[in-house]
Amino acid sequence: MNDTRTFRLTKIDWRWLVVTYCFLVLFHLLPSLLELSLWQFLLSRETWQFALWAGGGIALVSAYVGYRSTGITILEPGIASMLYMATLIPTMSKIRDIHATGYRLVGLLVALHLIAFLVGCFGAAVGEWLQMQREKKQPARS
Amino acid sequence: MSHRTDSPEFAPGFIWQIILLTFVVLCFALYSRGQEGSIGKMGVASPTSIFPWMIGGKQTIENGLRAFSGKPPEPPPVGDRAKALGPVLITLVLCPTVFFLEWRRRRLAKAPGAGRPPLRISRPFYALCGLVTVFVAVAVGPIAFFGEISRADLRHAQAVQGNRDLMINELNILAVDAAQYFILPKSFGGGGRSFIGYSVPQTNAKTEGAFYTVTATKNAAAFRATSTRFPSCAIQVKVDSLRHMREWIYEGEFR
Repeated sequence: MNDTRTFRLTKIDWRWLVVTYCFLVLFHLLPSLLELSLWQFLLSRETWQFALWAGGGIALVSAYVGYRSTGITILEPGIASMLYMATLIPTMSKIRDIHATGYRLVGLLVALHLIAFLVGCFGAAVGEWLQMQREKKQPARS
Repeated sequence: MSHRTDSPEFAPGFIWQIILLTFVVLCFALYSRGQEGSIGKMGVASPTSIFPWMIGGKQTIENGLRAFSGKPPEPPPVGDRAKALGPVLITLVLCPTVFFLEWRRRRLAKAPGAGRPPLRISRPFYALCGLVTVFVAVAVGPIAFFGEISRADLRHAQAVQGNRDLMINELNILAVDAAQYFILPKSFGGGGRSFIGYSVPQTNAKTEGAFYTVTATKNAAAFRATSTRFPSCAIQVKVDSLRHMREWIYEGEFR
């Protein structure tokens, strides 16, 4: 372990933020679009199923980013996940079709973005943990 | 700037290359969403699907509608052909080729203990091709299987319906024949106001669609038609002295 592992919440590496967003689009949105037939066959695009599917993808990609990046990268995947959710809702979900009043709809959208942020941070934290485990093992081998 | 900018995490130009790739993918997503909206009203799946039979299905429906209007079927437009061919080439040719070649190259060039290399655009591209290849390999089987099942069900339902229509038509002909028998005097070979003695003519007793039997009483002739193609399916109907067909009973899959 070195001193670059100091947890700095205010420092955001914009490059990892951009890369996380790009990874989410490339490895979650694109396969989902390509597999639309299977997707419709397996799951509908109702709200909770959509949230489950999106949350799983966000967690996996964020975990990879947390694992791959040097140093602590937790906020970046969280913010990128929020931005990705803002992209995902108009392109993939049927949330705009649900019958909800303005307040409820806004509340639902805020909740989804918040969940995306938390899931992104959680996935990244898991990735960081895996990275630390790997770094602990490496000196022992050498 | 971050404390990590000095670390060689990214290859030169990686950020711009991945942004460009993402932009292209987002344009594709928005385009496909628009296409889905316009075609989804017809109940046809998205044309951006990687499966060409979706576009083939759309073409079949359109040809069916044209045939229903008395127009001859048309070959698919060039745009639809391109929509089918493009994804097939990308997902079934390009992605597996890139994935397996890169996979082989990585295996050959694997250097143990070389450390973690910086991220290059080839790495996400390779991963993307691998993802698409695996997805296609996993998805094609079940979709083809269930698609074939639903097509077979549809063909069977159409065959049953066609057989039923044919039998109803032939029963109508038999009803006319029975009514003629009822009206004709016995001296002319008829029943003389009775169905007794009536039998199904030899030419109509067994046809391509069914075989027919009749039970005649004085005032009614009860026909039973049993399908030859679907032996569990049958139709029973009674013809009265006024040639009214009543008490229709459908058996088996005709119900």
